[in-house]
Amino acid sequence: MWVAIAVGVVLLVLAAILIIIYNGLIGKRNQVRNAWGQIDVQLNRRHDLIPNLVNAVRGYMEHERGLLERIAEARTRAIAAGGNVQQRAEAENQLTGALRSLFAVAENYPQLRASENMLALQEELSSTENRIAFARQHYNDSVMEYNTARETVPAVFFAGMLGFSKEPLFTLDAAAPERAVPQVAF
Amino acid sequence: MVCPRCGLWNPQHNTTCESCGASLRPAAPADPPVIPTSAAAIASTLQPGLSGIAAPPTEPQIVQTAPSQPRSRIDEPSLYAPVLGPVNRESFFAAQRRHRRATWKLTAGSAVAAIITGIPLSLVLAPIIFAVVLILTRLLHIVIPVPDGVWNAYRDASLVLFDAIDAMDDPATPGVVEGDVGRIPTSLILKTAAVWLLPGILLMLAIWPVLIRLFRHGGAGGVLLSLGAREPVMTDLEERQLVNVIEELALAAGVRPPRVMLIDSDVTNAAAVGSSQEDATIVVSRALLDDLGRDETQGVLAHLVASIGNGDLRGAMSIIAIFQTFGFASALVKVPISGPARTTVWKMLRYVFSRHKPHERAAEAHVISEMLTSGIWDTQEDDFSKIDETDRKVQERPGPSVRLLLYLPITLIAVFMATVLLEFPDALRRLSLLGVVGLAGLIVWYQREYVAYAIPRALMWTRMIIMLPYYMAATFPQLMISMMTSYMLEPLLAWLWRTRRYLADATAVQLTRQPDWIAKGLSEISSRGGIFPGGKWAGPLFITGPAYGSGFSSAGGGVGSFHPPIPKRLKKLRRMGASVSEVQQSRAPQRPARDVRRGNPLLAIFLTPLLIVLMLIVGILIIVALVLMGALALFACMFLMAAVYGLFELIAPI
Repeated sequence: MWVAIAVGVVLLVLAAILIIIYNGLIGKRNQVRNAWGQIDVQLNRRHDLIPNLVNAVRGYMEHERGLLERIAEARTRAIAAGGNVQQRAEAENQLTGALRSLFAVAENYPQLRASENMLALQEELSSTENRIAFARQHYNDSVMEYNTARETVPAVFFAGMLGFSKEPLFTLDAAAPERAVPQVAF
Repeated sequence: MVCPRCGLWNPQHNTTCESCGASLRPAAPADPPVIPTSAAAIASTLQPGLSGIAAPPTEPQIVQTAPSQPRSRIDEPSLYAPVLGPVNRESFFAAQRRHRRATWKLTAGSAVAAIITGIPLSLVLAPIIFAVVLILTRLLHIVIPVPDGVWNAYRDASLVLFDAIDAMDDPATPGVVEGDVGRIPTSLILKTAAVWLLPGILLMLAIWPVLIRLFRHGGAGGVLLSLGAREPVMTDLEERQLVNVIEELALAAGVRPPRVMLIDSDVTNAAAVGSSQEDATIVVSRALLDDLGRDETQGVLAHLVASIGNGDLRGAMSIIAIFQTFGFASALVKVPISGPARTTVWKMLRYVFSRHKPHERAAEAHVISEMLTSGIWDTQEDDFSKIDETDRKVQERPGPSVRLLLYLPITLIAVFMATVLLEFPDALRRLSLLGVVGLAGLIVWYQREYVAYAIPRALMWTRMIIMLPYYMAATFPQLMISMMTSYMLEPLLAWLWRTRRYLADATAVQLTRQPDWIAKGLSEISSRGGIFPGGKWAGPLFITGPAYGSGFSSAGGGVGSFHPPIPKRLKKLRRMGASVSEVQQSRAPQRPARDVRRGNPLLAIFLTPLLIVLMLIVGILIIVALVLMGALALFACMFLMAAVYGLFELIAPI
């Protein structure tokens, strides 16, 4: 009698622990997926902003026609890439580079720099760049949390069985300019 | 390359600083550094004090030029001087884990402290709950007969404390020596605790979540929004930027973007208000936007977003609800003897059952919350402070003394209590009551001309005498609660909240990955920060706060600060990699330094132990006072409980 009750209690506690761990893993995995979705949302936001930007600067920057075309083209390619991660990442990286040089060049046009419209656009774009960076960072933080939870002791015994697979971290392509090691010289 | 003006690290190829735009190409040093040639000269640069001994007199010119070499690179005075990082570096993840563990411990400690603080109240609540239970069971008895065992259990419960006292010097209990106060058996202690502590504590534990839900409309700091907060103007670049900054941070934290409101105040601060992660609002003063750059704004607001993400708003609601629970319970207890308590309970009931518009409800919630929490500390106001007033009114009336009439109620009560307590036989008790009532009738008949004058005063005295045990039972726990809240519960909660601030700081670093941003922002705010006018009671929800006098219960003592001092926060941020020096330098015009008069160190040596001894004595006195008050309250409640049962047997026997 007492043995049966004891065994029952132990089983109940085990089941409760299992449920808590399982729900925790589900929550963390969904956070990872949501974070992945956020990156896309922010990239799309950037695509929506670019036509405005190009229109705003076109009048001032006749000499930089090539640069503006490069931006428009990178945007088109990024949209066209759709689900192809490799191509998409390449196009997005080009877009990032082109936008940076646009703002660097814009420094040479005092009228443009002083334009209220341009300032607002610049703020919007740099905010979008931040958002993309933050969304990636949040994705990686979530992945780290999820993977750690998945691979540490109580969960590691059955996470694989229940179909919790390891999620990949978001890393930049090794060839991307952001990854180039800065030359340090003193 | 480190920017000479702002201390930010820039990639090597940059020619201007990314943060402040200063030129990174340093001008060639005006005079090339002179390298000391001899060992003696090197020794003299290291220890200038020893140069006179170590340096031979043949090389004085080298000794003179050497110490001047490290400066003169930077022409402007540096604003945030880069400093060497501390040795005990810590990653923000490790810091978060550490602070989180600390908050768990402190939460457990605070919960225990809250329950201990609730004990005096539960002593008074016990007889009241007992009375309610008795009445309910008696009503139930009319419908379904209740077994005798229940009534016997009630009888036992009402006398359990008498039993415990009896057991202390009863030779029959094991462990009791004749003529010696012995131990009470464990089972009796458990029974006493179950009767006296459990009902009150359970009741308060049940009220607490109800109050959290009830005041959710007000939210933590909800009324801040009615202090002239406005929506940001999207055409204003700075305010547009603010909204962007907060949305970016919400992305980084993975929370729903909080609403943003602005207050046109010249205090540099911001607060997170609301009742949960889902309906959070960040209130920012316009001055913060004007004073801080984008990065610094992002740093300090990251603290608020991190705080929201960590669930601090719910925590704040729970803490406020603890004070509200105590306030409500003590108001309930004081309903028979205090006008303000009746008002509080009445307003509370009206709030529960009324249908207001949300913003009116927030204001109403705030008012009632204030009444509840300040009720903990308000021990002065009760009906008996009005006795003097009635006395005066009676005395001003013409006519002979009505003294005889005044003794009447006292005699009545005394006889009644004596018959109950001495357990007179029923016949004798009724006879004595009849005798007293008859006597009273006679007196009233002979004094009938003056009765009208004396009635108010006599009523008041009667009430006071009837209420005397209750008055004692209610007032002492009230005093104990206010003391325990001020000296135990509130400091603990403040400590907990301070740890939550460190946690939010560490999470903020995780969000921005830039310890410098928040560190610079904090150091900037520290010189001009403050609490918005009218927002003092929501002080703990701000980024920074005053060292004293801010807490969730405005009337509270404010023994502990709800915010850690800024230098301490900067120190912890430096461990996570911030390079802001400990010395607080600010762009704001420096206030003139206070004239600190240096005391005599000898005096301090004598005075310090004296002060410690004094504080110890005061502490011991407070504890003794608490124990004495507890004993008195328990004594009063003991009779109250027995009286409840006695009255019940008298009025509605089974």
